[in-house]
Amino acid sequence: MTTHPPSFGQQRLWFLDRLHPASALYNVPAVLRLTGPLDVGALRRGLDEVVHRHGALRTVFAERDGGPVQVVLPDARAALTVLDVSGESEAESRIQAEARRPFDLSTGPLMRVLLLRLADDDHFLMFTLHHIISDGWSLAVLLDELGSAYRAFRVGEDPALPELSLEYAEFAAWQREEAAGPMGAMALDYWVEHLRDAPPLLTLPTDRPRPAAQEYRGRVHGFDLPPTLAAGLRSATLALGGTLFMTLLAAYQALLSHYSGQDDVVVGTAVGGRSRVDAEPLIGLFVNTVPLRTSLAGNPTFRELVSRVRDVTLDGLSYADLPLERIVEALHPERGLGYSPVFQVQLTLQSTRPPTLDLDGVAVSEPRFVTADVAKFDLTLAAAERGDDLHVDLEYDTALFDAATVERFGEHYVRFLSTVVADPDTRILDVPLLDAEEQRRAVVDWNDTELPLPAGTVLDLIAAQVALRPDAVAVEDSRHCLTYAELDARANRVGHALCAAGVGPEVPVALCVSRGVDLLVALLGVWKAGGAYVPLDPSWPADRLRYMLANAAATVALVDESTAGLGFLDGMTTVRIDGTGQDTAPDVDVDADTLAYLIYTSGSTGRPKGIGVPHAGVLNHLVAFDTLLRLDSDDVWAAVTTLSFDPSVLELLLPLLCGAKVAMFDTIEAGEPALLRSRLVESGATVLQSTPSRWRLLLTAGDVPASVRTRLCGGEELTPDLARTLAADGATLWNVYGPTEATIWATATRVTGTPLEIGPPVGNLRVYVLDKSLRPVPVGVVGEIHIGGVGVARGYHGRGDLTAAQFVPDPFGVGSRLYATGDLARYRPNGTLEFLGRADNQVKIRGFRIELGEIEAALRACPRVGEAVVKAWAGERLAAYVESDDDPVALWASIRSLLAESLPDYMIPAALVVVDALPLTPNEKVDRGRLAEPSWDELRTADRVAPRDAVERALAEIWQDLLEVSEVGTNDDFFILGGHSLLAAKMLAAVREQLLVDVPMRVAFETRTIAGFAEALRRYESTPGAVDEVAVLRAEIAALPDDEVAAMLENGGVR
Amino acid sequence: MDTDYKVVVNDEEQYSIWPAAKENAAGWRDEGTQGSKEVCLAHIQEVWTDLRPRSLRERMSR
Repeated sequence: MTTHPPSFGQQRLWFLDRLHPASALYNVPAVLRLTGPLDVGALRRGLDEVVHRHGALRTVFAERDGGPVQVVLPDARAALTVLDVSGESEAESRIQAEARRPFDLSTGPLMRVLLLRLADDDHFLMFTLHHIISDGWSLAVLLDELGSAYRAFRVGEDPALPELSLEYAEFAAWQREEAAGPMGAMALDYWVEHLRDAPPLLTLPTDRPRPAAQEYRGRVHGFDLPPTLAAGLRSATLALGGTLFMTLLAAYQALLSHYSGQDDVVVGTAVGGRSRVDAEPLIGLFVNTVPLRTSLAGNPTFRELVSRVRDVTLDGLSYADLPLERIVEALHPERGLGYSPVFQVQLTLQSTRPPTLDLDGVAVSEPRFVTADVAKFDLTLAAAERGDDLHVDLEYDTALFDAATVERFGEHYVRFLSTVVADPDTRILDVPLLDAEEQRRAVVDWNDTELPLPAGTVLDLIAAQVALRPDAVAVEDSRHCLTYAELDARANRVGHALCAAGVGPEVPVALCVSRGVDLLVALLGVWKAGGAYVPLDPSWPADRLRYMLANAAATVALVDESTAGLGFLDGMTTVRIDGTGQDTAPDVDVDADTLAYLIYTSGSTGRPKGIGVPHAGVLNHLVAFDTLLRLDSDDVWAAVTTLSFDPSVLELLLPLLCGAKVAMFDTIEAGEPALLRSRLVESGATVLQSTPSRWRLLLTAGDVPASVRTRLCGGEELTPDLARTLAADGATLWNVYGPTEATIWATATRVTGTPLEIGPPVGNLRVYVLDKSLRPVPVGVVGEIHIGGVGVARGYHGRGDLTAAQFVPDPFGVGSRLYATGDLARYRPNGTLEFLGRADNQVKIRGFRIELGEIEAALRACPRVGEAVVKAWAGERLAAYVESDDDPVALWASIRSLLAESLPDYMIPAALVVVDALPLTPNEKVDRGRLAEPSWDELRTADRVAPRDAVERALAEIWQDLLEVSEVGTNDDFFILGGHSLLAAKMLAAVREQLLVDVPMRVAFETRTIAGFAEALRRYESTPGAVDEVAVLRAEIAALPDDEVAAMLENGGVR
Repeated sequence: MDTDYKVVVNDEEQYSIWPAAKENAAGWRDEGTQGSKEVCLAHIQEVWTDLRPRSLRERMSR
């Protein structure tokens, strides 16, 4: 039987069929309703005639050398099935089943026709074609020819159909020649240049993590554009000098840019692929897809964007004959099964009238395309002109998106079009996506936090407790304790001493006192004098401390015995914490707008920034948490947080507002797990707040003592595993979030399960997720967290410039400011936030935008891994740093396969560094600056595992041949070494031939390494041990001299 | 000249920056400086040396 090379499109679909055997992904089902007396005989003869005329309808596919060839059967009849059905519902269920029934490309037939008979004059006629032998145009040809033939046969004539001058197989051969010729080379140059450095993945915000392998399950959300919009769109299109396709594409790409945050968007679109006139009357796969890449950089107006899209489209169409497969091959993009290469979203516009079938005397409906619940891309926008109407179908991948999300996308598309049609000079990022209702929800409803505040300052509230319970213990450390009255008296003494040293409102006081009851005396003493404390940690570098003192212009320091003589305090007025003086409060009126403290955090410039926080914010925060936590006088709060991290304010002062007790832990007690645990038990602590890092530290010493009923976790992202552990014994766990610039925690959520969320804002604070134009982003879209309300700090001391950059005008208030956090998040439908990491923790690796936080969370979810961070080196490689006491090699092997289940390949770190403990900043957060670069070369060779048995050796040889590399380790990735789907198919063919085992193509994509693939071979072998036996045998034969082999063959084989 | 941003100021004489082409947020007025982000911020660093809100400054000087 003669065979022909496949067209490029056929080759791709054949590979996809190998990857997803028995799938209906490329079924093209169309149904027509026939009303009237039907001549079934003429219909059958008509179908046979069409099949006879078109080789494509007689084609099946055989495998040669790991690839397909076309086999055109010389003679075949149409596969027509005629069934009587009881009614419409049976008909519909048969139609649905037929649409989903897979084809066998090797046996055919690849067109099935189903005639469902409701009555003599009432039928459904259904065509199901495999896309590998047809396209949209083909269906029009099919229906047209079938109509002519039917009408002729019905009256006993032979159909007079025009002669076809081209066979599809000839077209396929011609296409290959063209692609290899000068025109093809020119087109290829164009496409490679057009797509150079394009983002490989459009990172749309998905409702669920992207599965490791595309599942191709889909749904369609369809709607009509409002008639006035459709009309407006057509006239705007004329005025903009584009086509309807270009206007629709420009709006689509702009919206995708809004959603993804990328300003470089590639969208695929289908083109006819029948530039040869003699291809026009043929049935077959001609349609091609071209990737249209538009830059949306610089926030252009819609008018400007349409002009960019016009250029891109016109250029693209002039090179549209080059099959996409050639482009993909040439670009050799990073391949995986998780998403389609080059582009993941598509747009099509159907402007021609739907094809019709003309059967004499029978009324035939327009064809209805049955959806087989598949989606080839993440999102496809299929627009169709129906007279004056414009219909839009959004086909989406249900593994990624919920129906509600796609419906919202559709609403935003309509709103976007409405705005730019009305004013094409609107800049695309200025187009409002939210309607008034959505806007109100985000701005008002989700920030309904009003909370009445008492007059005065925190000092007034503490004074009330001093009067109420003077003899109750207010604070204790491991050696001392102070009652409310004693604490107050000592703070007053310090206050007087500071006043005498010149301290008053807005005067900074360097606070350098060891952790113990004195720390609280010091803090209150500064406030009693009206001053603002500046915590100094003597363990920090003297240079940094001197800079802080100079920046704060502090001249007075409050010290204790152990810190009095420290060098960096030279030249300052020092006041001792244990001095004597008056026990009554100094006569100072503390204004709510004066500074309570100045806390220094590391700045991106390398110089620490002093955040000035006024009393009003502190009071508000304490009152807000009082209403949330509802502590009473029996509570004991274990204070473990350094004074230079602002949550210390909450743990030191909230207990004093409630008549409760502060249990002060010193630095060693707070940092040594076993000691921390025993101090918690011994102090009877009921409340503990900490960063996730310290919670993990505590957990290394055993469980959290049961007496600690209230647990707060903040400062870093709380991961699900830690949340589960901390809430396992029924304790109340609060997930808190907030930067110092918005005063301690801005949001608090009681953790009741997963998913973990941020929000809602605490009393009198407001939290927004905003885009770059400071507008609320749609639900699900990534934006930056902004915080407003009473907690907004004054700014960075002495740095008006940095303050102005981070504290921005509040578009929702009058004259107020919002703090722009630099944290990324997105709204959930209920208004809570999903935290997505720091804006500056986002890196680009080989063109992929990556949130390091996402990888870190996946690492922490691995067994035997504690804290984990990921760092990008030189913008091209990721290194993971994890705390574990496991063997690094074994740990890496297990982690790598676990990560592969939840992360796309490009997010899997290239190296793992195992440490006992990650370096921490003074605020107990991981210090990324102190992570050392792994030595990559060493890792690669040390990592390389030589083949360990005959099967692995045989595979290594096959790989080396195919990939043209000299040495392959069993853990090397086939696709990273340059493999692609064609080579994978060749690899499988070689394996089939040499090791006598047949494995499906997707196994190659899933296992990726020799070690993994060898394992898989053993799952697919015919009898246990067969693969190993064959491999050993082959190795033995290969080792023999040629004449010996010949002799053995003569004698009837080996053994 | 790069005039993407402008310096804005509120009633408490707190400074910030805003896109030059965009209408001010309520309660903010133009300070008069316009230019690149860097130019605007450098100007603010020059003129906004006392970060206390105006009302506090006035109360404290009484």
